[in-house]
Amino acid sequence: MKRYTLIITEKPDAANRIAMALDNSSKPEKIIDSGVPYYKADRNGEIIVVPALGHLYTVASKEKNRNCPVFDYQWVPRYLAERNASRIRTWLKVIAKLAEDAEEFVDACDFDMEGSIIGYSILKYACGGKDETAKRMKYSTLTKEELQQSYAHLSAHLDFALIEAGLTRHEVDWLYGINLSRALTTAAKNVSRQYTTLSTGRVQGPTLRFLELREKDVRSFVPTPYWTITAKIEINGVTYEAEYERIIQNKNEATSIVKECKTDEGQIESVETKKFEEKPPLPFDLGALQSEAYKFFRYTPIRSSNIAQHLYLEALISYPRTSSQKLPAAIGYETILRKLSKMSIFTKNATKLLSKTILKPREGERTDPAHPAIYPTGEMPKKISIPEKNIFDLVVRRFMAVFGEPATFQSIKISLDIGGNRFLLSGIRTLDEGWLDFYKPYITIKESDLPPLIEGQKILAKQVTVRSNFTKPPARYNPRSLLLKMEKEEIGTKATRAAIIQTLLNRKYIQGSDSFVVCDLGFEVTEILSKYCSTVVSPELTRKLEEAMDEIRQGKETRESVLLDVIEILKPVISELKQKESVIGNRLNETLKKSRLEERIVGACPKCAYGKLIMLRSRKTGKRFVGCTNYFEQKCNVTFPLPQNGKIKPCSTVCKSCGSPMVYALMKGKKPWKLCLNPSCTSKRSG
Amino acid sequence: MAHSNIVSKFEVWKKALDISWVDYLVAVQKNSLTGEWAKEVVNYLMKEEGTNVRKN
Repeated sequence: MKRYTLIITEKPDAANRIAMALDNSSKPEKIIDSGVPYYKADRNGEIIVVPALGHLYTVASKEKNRNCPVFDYQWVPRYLAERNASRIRTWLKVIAKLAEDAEEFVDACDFDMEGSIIGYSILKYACGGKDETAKRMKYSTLTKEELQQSYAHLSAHLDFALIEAGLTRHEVDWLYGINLSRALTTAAKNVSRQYTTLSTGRVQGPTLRFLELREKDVRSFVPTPYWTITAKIEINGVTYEAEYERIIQNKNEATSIVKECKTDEGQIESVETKKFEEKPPLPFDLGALQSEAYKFFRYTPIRSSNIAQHLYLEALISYPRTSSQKLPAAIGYETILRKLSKMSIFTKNATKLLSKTILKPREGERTDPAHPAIYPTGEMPKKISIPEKNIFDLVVRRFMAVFGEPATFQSIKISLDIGGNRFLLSGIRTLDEGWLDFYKPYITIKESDLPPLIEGQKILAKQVTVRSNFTKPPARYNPRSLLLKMEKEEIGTKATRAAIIQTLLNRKYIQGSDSFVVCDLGFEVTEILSKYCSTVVSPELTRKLEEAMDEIRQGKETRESVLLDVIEILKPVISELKQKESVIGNRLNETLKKSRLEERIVGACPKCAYGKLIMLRSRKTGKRFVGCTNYFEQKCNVTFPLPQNGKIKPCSTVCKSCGSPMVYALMKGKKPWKLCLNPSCTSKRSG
Repeated sequence: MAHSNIVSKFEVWKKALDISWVDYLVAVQKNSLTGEWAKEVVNYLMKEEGTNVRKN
């Protein structure tokens, strides 16, 4: 039997790209075995490229029961630990069969912590301990040139320090997640006899705490009054608005200043001009890309991350899950710009950059051991969706902007005297657009130019007005600001933060898409955790663990010692939670009951006005319908029929035609159907 | 937290508008920027004020 080299990739798309790049004729043979695709390529010998499906192995308890605490675990194939993962069994069988006749093994999964664990676990468990002899293929883009280069210069072994750090992260997160989540879920279930998944974790807990603290600030906010004074002045026939030099916190003072300004004439006291520069932006790391994508397109962090991942698999951009703000010269600035200049929308800017004598990007402090910052490969996109096009455009323009010159501006600050009171007028003028030109339309230049003015010059004060204002509550977190907060507090990683936010939404701890509102369940969970195990959900401990995992990566700390520390931290916490199980269970159960009830309320009763319409099920017929809560007190008998199939969700709006509440009917494979509850609504009459 | 905010911000309102406690509560209750928990506390305090006035 002819022996071959077996290359393992993280995803099927990557397997296809690698096989295409390595095959001498760029036409590898695609084989499908039991639904698992793999590729046969020829490059000075036979190569087989087989993909994984992300993680094929996971951490699971050694015991089958759902006891808590649980500290004994093992790495097992996912199909043994998760439901709906039976496909993994076939996948692993095919990989194991291919491994039997392979003579060399190459791990070509994404070069980061997760990718390294995926490759390592397959080589160790499915390929019979080949992790010790396997080579590592490292690349940051899936372009043909880089893949060929990478294959020609394989690392002699896997990055074991990175793997150790990654395994520790998974195990620590599992220990936290399983024990704390089981304690909460069991407490609620033992009281209600109803199962609801309540989760928390090492990163989830502190993140929910940030949201909870902000929510409390918003809900407890008391505004205070203040006043601003504006003077409309005329210079050379043009009207400008000058602001009084400070805000005023007393109404009488504001009124008397306005009275003092009852004069037509003012005078310029001083003119101050200042030249300043704004440096180009830093190259994109994943967090910065997610943040900008939310700002301009309102894409959630997880969506941006998925889109960027797809662009990477299409070889259009480099590996996106990076925390680097560096763009090393080795990526070939000029080659990329030359390729970009062939795309009409980038021709002008790319050509402008190519005419520079030196191409030097602005870089930030942050590095990533595996990948540079995100950059376009220069490959031309073929068929990509609009969201992919948006992210691609953003990445390209940001890449070009970092090579731009600083933008220069002139600020003008004018101090005016009106009736013995000082007003300020300011303007800004762009002297040189510099990098701004490359980053349009993602940057807006706010010009507010002023005419040439001199000290002592008289001006016409047309009108002076006072405006009453109130201080505003702090803004609730949105996907962008929450991500930035997590980054600032150094909790989670670039690859996990977006998923943590999504979990909080899925668990119904928070709701909203543009602005996160903490729900009752979120408050209850975070209050219980803060009360009974404040240390385990503190950002400080989470940060310390992140540091410990970094030290494992640098060889300064061991996996065993970190895991033992974690177990020692968790033991007393779980014991405390178990002792207080009935109190915690009752609290959670009350909140869960309230949340479940709220989920069934579709709006106010249109007949009695003070009852609420709630989704109910008839005891006689088993059919569902909507009825007024006052029915139980025999005060209102309003009922509405409901569709009997699919899921019904309340809708926050009322019918425009009759004012009745509306609901969404959600049926598998169909678009949500928004319908008015009133069967005799005029909007339902045909013709 | 809502209660302590209401009490502490009264000083700012008093300096700004020379306002009485009851007028302050009414103004805060009507203000759309007031948080919902603060409004609940204000409602309670207003009821209490009303009871006190009736008692006197």
